[in-house]
Amino acid sequence: MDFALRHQGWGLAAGLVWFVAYWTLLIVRAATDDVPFTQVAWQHPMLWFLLAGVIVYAAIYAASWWSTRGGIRTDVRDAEIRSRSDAVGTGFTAMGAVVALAMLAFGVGTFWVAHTIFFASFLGTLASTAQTVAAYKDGLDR
Amino acid sequence: MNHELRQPEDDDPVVMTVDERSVWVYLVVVVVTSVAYFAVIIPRVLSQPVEDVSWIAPLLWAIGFSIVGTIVGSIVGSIGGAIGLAIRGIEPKGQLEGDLRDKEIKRLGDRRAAVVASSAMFGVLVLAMFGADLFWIGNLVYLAGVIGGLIETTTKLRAYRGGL
Repeated sequence: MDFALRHQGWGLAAGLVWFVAYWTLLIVRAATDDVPFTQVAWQHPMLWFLLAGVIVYAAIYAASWWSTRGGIRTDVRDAEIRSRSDAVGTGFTAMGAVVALAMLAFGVGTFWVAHTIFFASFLGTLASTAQTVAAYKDGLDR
Repeated sequence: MNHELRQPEDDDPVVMTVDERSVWVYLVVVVVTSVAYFAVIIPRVLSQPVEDVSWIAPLLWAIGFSIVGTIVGSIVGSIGGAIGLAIRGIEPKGQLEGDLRDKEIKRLGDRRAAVVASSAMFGVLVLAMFGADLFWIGNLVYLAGVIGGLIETTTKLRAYRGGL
């Protein structure tokens, strides 16, 4: 149980920092470049943040793997928690995709479409991770 | 003549739950609407530059039809299932509701679909970053939904038919 809780718990903390950092960067850029918010050059920051997110999460995963060596990493309960948590996040991503399509249909700019998908995926991950941590802390039969 | 409805016996065929029937309906709807959509769009793409292709109205129709089709189809399917059981003399009450197995299968299918959808969303973000035409962005989102739907339904049906 320790393994999943560790990488999800630390991943949740890192994810929150990551998300706030991304938006701070965009706001600072908008302010310093003196352009409207939607005109900010967001493409490179997002690409780098996505890559950095993958690398940091991989490092957290590896560290959790290393620190739980010698024990049982995944039992039936872990699998049950994982499958329930994954189901929680799915809805957000799907909703984000539908909303993004609707925005495209109404001719909304790429900035908002991309950030809607970005935000919905983040919310989905956040919800499923929070569900995992809560399940470990409070049990499955709340 | 006896009109009493009986409980199913061990020799009776396994009753298809409402959940499984809905998965079949969803599969059919996804296939029909996406084939129709691409049948409209692909000739347009081949005959004119993508910036000029009008794809938004067909896409909204395809999505609208798949939502309405799935809802209506599932309702008709569950009513049909209950009538079918009653005709065979089996009490439908308590037979069609999903159980823990349906729940497990639903989760399994949803998870597989989520993996496809989230990888595709990454692709969509990359397309948006590089300023691709909205045609490609919108159609990748739609294609992700279609492929996700196909994987979801085939995973679920395989689990229903072949076991978890």
